[in-house]
Amino acid sequence: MIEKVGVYCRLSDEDRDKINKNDDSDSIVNQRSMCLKYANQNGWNVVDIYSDDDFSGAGTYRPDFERLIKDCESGKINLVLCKSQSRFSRDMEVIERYLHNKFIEWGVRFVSIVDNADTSIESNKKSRQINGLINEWYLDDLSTNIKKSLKNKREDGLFMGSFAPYGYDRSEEDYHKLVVDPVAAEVVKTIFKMYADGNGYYKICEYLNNNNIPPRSVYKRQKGSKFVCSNCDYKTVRWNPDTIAQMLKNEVYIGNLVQGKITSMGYKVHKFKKVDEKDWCRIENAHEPIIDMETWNKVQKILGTHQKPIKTGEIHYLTRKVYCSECSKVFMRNVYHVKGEETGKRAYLQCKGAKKYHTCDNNKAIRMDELEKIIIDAINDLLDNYYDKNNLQELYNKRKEQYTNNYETIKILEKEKHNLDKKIEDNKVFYRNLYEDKVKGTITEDMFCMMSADYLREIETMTKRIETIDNEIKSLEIVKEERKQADEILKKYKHIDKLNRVIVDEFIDKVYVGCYNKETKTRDIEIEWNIEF
Amino acid sequence: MEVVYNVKYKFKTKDNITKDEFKKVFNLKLLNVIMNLENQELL
Repeated sequence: MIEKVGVYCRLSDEDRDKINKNDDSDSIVNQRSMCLKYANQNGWNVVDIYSDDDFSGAGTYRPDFERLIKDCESGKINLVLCKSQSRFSRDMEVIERYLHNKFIEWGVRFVSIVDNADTSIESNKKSRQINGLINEWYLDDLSTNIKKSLKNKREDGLFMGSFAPYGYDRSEEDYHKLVVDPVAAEVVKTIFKMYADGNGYYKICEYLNNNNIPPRSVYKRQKGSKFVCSNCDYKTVRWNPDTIAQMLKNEVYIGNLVQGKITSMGYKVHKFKKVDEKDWCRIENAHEPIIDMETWNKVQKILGTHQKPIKTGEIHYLTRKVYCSECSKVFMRNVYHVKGEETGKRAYLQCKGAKKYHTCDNNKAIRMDELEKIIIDAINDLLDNYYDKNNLQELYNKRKEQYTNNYETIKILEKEKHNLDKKIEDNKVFYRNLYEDKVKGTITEDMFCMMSADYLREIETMTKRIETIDNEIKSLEIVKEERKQADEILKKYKHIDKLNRVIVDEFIDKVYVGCYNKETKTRDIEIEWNIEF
Repeated sequence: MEVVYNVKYKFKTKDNITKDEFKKVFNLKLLNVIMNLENQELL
């Protein structure tokens, strides 16, 4: 029988690390020359050479390995020649499936030079199986060691992700350390502040998109990152509510590194599973925070209470503030159509236990405007008794100095503008080169149109963003100039006429509404003030 | 139908807080409101 030989070579990172740097005996070139020499000595005819560089011996997802198997099945080759059995596979299951089953069925012989495996010699089978077992153990140990090494690095507070989270960059001095990216950090701060001020996810997205702030994936690519988002189109991608929700819960922004949330199912299975939260690796103060703890806690409190925005996209300032004094459940907001009302609608609050679960007797709703008036009166009551102009004036002057210092913000915006200007210049150069290629005939008109459209679109987006930045810088400078006299401002707050989120959040912790007493026509209201001492 | 509301206050302050101490805390809270709203008035 004429031997039709297929030479198979493979090299992976695990082998590269193992060998001495000066010893390239395992390299693809050397494997190939060793096999060709061996085939020549035996007078065999080499039909094809198959080589997989940078592929692990654990699986069968190797392009040339798959081609080799197809050629074996089709009869193109009837002898597989490798330097060693581990080159063919380190997986015991694969060795059994092919060497001792399929190859016999297809009439294919397997020979490996170094470990003398030869399927044409019956007595050789046990040593082949032992080789297979040792190779499998090697992989098993390697997988355990890699996992252990990654775990140790995470516990040392090293960032082990592929890409730095939005708002951070990898440090140039230490690849595993995160440093604040001042441009993106400003966006992160805006997102947290807007949410803390009562804006919902959609409202925040709308603001970011209208101000031409590039979404995370686009921003990463603009910075030259190889980041690939498999399910988004970079031409149309915009900020979306899921992204905002994810960012607001991410502890990385308060300086904590939380890693090891997923783990591989095993070295043979290229799938991942979630890790229990108690087993996550959490390192506090691993890097510089972007968000201060006060803002973070405020945001987590709102997230924890599942506050929902009303139709304007904002979260109502009395959401999760009003509770039933009978069953302690929250009061829900409902809007009814009412004749005679200016807007045709009137908002009420009612105990959730009574309205939804029918487990509470406090079923009478309270008008929103009446409750608001009660709260306004209560705040004015405190203002009448405790407003101290001199004390306020002193505190105000101290604080004003901090507030008017917009220098840092302006500096960050100017840096972003400078980067965008540079990027636009680069794109213009690319565009010019592309045009020259079209004139020379190197690329077709269609290709030119397609490729130039991307450059022009990017230039347009970045130009819009620069306009926005210019306006922001201008307004920050106006803020510095437009400070009114303290006296006038402080006088304004001696009495309040209406509520808003800032006032409610600062002064009111909870409001408890009792049952309506039909006989006395009275109802108890208890205001829990957010004033601690 | 007019409802009469009996409004009660509850504070998280210590029982023996003096009026001056309370005034200080209250004015600090009020200052936070003023600074926040003035800044918003960005609009």
